[in-house]
Parts: sequence; structure tokens; C-alpha cells
Amino acid sequence: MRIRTVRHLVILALAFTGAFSALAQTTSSGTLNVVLTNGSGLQMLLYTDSSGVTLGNSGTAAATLAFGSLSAHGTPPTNVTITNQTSTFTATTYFDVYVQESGLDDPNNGYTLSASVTGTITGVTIQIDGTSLTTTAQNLSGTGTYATDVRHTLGAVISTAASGSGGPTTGTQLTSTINLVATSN
Amino acid sequence: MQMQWKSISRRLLIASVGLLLPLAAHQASAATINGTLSVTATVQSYFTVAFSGTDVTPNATGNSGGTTATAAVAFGNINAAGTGLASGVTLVSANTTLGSCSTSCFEVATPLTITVTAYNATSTSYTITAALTAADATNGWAIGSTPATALTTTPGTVSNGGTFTDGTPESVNVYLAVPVTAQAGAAPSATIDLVFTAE
Repeated sequence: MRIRTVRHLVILALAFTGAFSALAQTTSSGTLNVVLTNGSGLQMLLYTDSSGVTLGNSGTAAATLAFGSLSAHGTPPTNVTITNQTSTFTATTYFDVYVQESGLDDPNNGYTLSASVTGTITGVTIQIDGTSLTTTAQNLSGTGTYATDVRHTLGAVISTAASGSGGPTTGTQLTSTINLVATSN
Repeated sequence: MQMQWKSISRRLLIASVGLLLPLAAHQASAATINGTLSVTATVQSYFTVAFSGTDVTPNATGNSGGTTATAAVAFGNINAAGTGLASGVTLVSANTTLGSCSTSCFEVATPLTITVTAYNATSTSYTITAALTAADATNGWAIGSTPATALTTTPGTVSNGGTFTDGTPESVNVYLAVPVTAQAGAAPSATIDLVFTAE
């Protein structure tokens, strides 16, 4: 009776795993069953938005976006909008995020997009969809749809203070890298 | 012996669950993917200038992007006695000279406020030069805190030194000297070009 109980437990345990199941099959019938399981995964591509600045390396996961020369007033670069606040001005444009899934159990759940920046620039705050980015990832959206260009607003909030007084260095190209992470819901 | 079998059974169960839990966790783990967007920008300094005053009608604010600030200064009716002058206009002298008005002139003035605002600029002061766009052979013109230097078609530094503090309104005067022999109804006019340069 005890031996039978243990045997049942062992069989039950083995039945839960394909590997053990395969072993059982090879010993019982002499055939080898190979089970292939599709690995689930995501792919992210960044694209130029129809109303945004033209991206470098558009259609890849590592794109570049050059605002060009920005100043508090005057004519902004093409597809860049400047808005003025009391002690800052904000340059905004658009870019698209395209996330493709494969093998997910329920792709209709969409994905969550988070972002952070690598390093900071004095006097400049990078925003996506109004969220100020920091070196810590923050959720931007929890309802991303797969296989669709999702437009996002990129903003650079720039202090109008002079360099050395809280404002950015002028006349020099400033660079900030945004890390985007899409996670399946 | 019965206890030993129970213990073995329990261990097998635990072992089975232990094997299954990581597999279950693996099935439920979320998929992630990364992307990077490198953003570049070059911030440029920017300046704006605006005019205001009692007798000033500002039409546009100028800026370093190429827009010229325009304003009109209207003295109205003036005379050597200084009577009936428009608000803001004062008689500086009933008998003086200034520039082309070299003999027996009366001089009037009206205040002009200039506000230069800087954005992303390390400069805190600005030099202003002024010039007439066309020579006036009869009347004398000047701008500044004192009418020491008459304007010509050659740009000259504004008489108060031409240094203005960032964002702080600066008050100067526009001076006009007219010959006392000028006929009634004469209407002197001139256009003054002001150029602001960050120091």
C-alpha cells in the first residue's frame, strides 16, 4: 500500500514535466518525442512620426533625434514647437514606438512602456508624454498596443537661465539618451 | 516504519512542487524589450528688446532672431515757450544747439523706456548704438540720458554709456532740437536705428 502510494506520487510528479514525460516515453515505447515550444518575445522599433523630427536610424531599436538649435523665442526647427514658461521654455516634437510581440499567451493585454534617461543635463529636463524622466525608470503607458505605431511626445524643458546659473551650456550640442522598456502585460 | 513512509511521501511531494514552481514561474514571466533614443539639442542665447513710454507707441518687439522692434515717438505740438506740450514732453532748453540745428534752437525731450531681456545668456549688459537712417540738415536729434551727442547717420554709442542691465527697464530720452526760426506747422521727423549688442 505504501509502495503504491509513493509510486503514484512519483508518476504524478513526472507527469507534470515534459522532460520527465519524455523519459517515460523513451523507456516505455522506444520512441523519442521532441516537443518544440515557441519562445515568447518582443521587438521594439522607433520610427519618425509624421509630425515629428526625422529620426536617425528610424525603424531600429536605437534611434537618434536631433532637435537642432533651440532658443526661447524665434523660429523653431521644423516639426518642433516652442512654448514659453516663466523661467523655462519647452521644445516638443513627436516620435513613434512600435512593439511587435510573438508567442505571447494574450497579446491583447498590450504592453507597458517605461523610460529613463542616462545621465542628466544641467538646465534641461527630458519629458515623454509630459512625464519628466530621471535615471529611474518610470511608467509612461500601461496600454500599449502591439504592432501599432504609438505616437509619443518628446519634450525638452530648458531653463532660460545663463549657463553657470542653472541654465544649460549654450552653443554646444547637448546629448541625452532615453532608455525605453516595453514589458508585456 | 509508517512514519518513515509518510516522510518519504512528503519529501517527494515537496520535491515535485519544487520542480514545478520554477517551470510555472517561467511560463508566467513577462517579456521585455529595450530601445534607446539618443536626443541632441543645441541651446542658443536669445535676446528681445521692447520700447515703451508716455509718447511711445510700440508696434513690435524685436529679437535676436532677426525681428526688428519698431516704435513711434510722437512729440505732438511743440514750441520754444514750452507751453501746451503733450504729456511726457518737456522743454529742455529754449535756446541751444544740437547737431544740424546749430544756431538758436529750442529743444524738447520725451522719455523712452528700453527693456532688453536675455535668455540663456551669460552677458548681463548690452551696448546700444544709434544712428539716423537719413541725414536731417535742419533739426538736431539725440537719444540717451543726456543730449550730449547728436545723432548722425553713423552709428554712435548711446550717450548714457550704452550699457543696459539684463531685463531691467532703462529710461532714456529722445531729444529734438528745432530752429526757433522754423515755420509754424513744420513737422520734423526722423527714423532712428538702434542696435543692441550683448557684451
